[in-house]
Amino acid sequence: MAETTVAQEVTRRTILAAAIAGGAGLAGVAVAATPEADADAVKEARRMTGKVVTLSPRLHLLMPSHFPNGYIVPFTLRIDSKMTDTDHVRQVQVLAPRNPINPVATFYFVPGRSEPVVSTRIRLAEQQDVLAIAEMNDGALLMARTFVEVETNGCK
Amino acid sequence: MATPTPRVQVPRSATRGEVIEIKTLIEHPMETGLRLDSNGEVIPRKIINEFICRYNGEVVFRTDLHEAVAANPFISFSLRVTTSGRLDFIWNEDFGAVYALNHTLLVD
Amino acid sequence: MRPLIKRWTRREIGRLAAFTLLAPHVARSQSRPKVLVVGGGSGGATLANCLSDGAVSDVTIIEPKRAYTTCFFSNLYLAGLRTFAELTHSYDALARRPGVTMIHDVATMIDPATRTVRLGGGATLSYDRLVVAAGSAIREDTIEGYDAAAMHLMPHAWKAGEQTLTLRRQLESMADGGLFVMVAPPDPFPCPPAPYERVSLIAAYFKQHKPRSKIIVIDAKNTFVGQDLFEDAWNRYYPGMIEWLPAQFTGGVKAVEPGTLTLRTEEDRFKAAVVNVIPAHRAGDLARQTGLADASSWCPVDPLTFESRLQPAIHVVGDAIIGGDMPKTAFGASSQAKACAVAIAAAFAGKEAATPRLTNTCYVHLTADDAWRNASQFEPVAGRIKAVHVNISRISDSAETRRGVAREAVDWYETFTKELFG
Repeated sequence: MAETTVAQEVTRRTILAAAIAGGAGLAGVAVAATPEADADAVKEARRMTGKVVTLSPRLHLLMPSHFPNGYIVPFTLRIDSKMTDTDHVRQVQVLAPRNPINPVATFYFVPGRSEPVVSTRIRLAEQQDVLAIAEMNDGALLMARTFVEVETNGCK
Repeated sequence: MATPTPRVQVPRSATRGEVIEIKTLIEHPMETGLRLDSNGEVIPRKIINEFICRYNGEVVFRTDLHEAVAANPFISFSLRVTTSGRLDFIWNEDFGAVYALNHTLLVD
Repeated sequence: MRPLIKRWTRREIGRLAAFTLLAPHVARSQSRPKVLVVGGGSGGATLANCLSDGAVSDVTIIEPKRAYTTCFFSNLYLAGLRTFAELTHSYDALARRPGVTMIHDVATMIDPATRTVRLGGGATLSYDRLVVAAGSAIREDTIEGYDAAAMHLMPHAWKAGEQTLTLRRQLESMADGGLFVMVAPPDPFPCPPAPYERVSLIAAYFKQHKPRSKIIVIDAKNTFVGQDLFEDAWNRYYPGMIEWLPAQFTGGVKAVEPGTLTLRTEEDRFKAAVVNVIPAHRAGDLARQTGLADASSWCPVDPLTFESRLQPAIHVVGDAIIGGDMPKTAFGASSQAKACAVAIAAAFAGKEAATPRLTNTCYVHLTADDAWRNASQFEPVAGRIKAVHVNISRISDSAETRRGVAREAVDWYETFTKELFG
């Protein structure tokens, strides 16, 4: 297990170094919709945030699977919640693991006031799983991921 | 850099309990601190790092922005409206500059 | 540096000639096959040049205008960097080429059943093969109030000529501190980077002559080609002058009031000193009336031969086609026309043409001395035109590199127009 962790960490450092140097992104590494990829994403989230998360269908990450640039990639987030005092989302953290700087944004919602939906545009250095981690009022940590391919490095 | 211009699209009026969509846009290069100028020097980081919406003074929606938010940040969110009142939109920039707009909402 | 254009090479001429030699023997009393070309733009002119060079067929071009004003580089005229005369090229040399006949008239009707074309002046011409290279048309049904009359007050200047002169006059008359608003179109439309090149060059003109003026772009889209290159340049050269508003923010322009130079989006009104509306486009009227366009309003073609998928013996090249990954440009139309000429020659010889290699190079000006370039190659893959190689400038390019591209653009213009019009 430790060996796997080290190997993945080295890979991630290499990715970050390449991205910072403006080098070409990883070639042809497609992340399929598999249980392994899901498990990797959960581990990635833990490493990046220290949080133990559960993939959840209540969290919807809506992004194009392919976009002509990494400069202004459309992003929409929606959480299934009635936003009552007893059941609401407090915040959602968005991460781009293959960007030179991983955190993208954190959105904070208020029950009875803001709806659990938000849209913006983000920069992506290369194709990757974009991750969203939602913290619910009862402490539950939910996650969603979506794989986006981009034709240019939006972080240069 | 010229003073960033923020813009907001809010419906002029709404009915009590209705959900309204608010679209915000602020001109800003969101300089990441990763780019080099033509002399090879790093262009320092300068971004809008926070967006806040207050409804009659109460914070109802907030965003922490990092470098990966695209230039000219566009944020669209939705509010469940209750009473008429004032909507304040605030953008905080690195090093303390603040940009703000406000809007009067009529709710019947 | 040699401009990146795909010249009509000896090999291509040889290929055409080979098809001619292999053609079935024709009786001395019969003439060569007749090819009619509707449209004397870069697609039509290239076809005429290729078919006549290779002695494949007699070519008749039907083109109402007496001279061709290039849309490409017209943004430089709008910025005061080129004269209108420099954009305009006479058809005399093309009309005099052996094997080429030029008729200055309008094609009013095509009858695929009888293989004839009726002209506005009354004549009817017959053809063995027809190529429609008549370009695209502006849709008048997408923005309320934007009709033919409105176009004089709020020019599109998306067809080079009178409209270009009108827009330039309006920009010249505008007082310092005025607002210029451009309405940018939805995809697909001719020359995707051109609206933003226009914004860049008008900003250069304002910076020099009317520095307190402002520019707003209200786009029907949420992103545009080369957006990172453009926005980086706008920040560096014209800080605070240009605002680009995406469709997801404004909802797009719904209506215009030409008399007051006002535009209405879903929630807002914009009042300007000069308005440039570039509306949605579709295939030209003649192509649509002839049944060459499908429900998308663009013309489906076989990307190997550019023959229409809807009407046999009629080919379509240039802006009107469903181009797949290939953008609608003059350069691209010329590349398609070369492939089409080879395919027509092959058809006359009863042979199959080789798979074409299509290219397009866009030169885009950010200032007079800073230009970027997108040089791409395309191939037919599974029935559509697919980009197989893209080479685009980078934000990190040095000023020297960009100056070089600007010089290359000028060289390309001279060479390309000479190739087309002689």
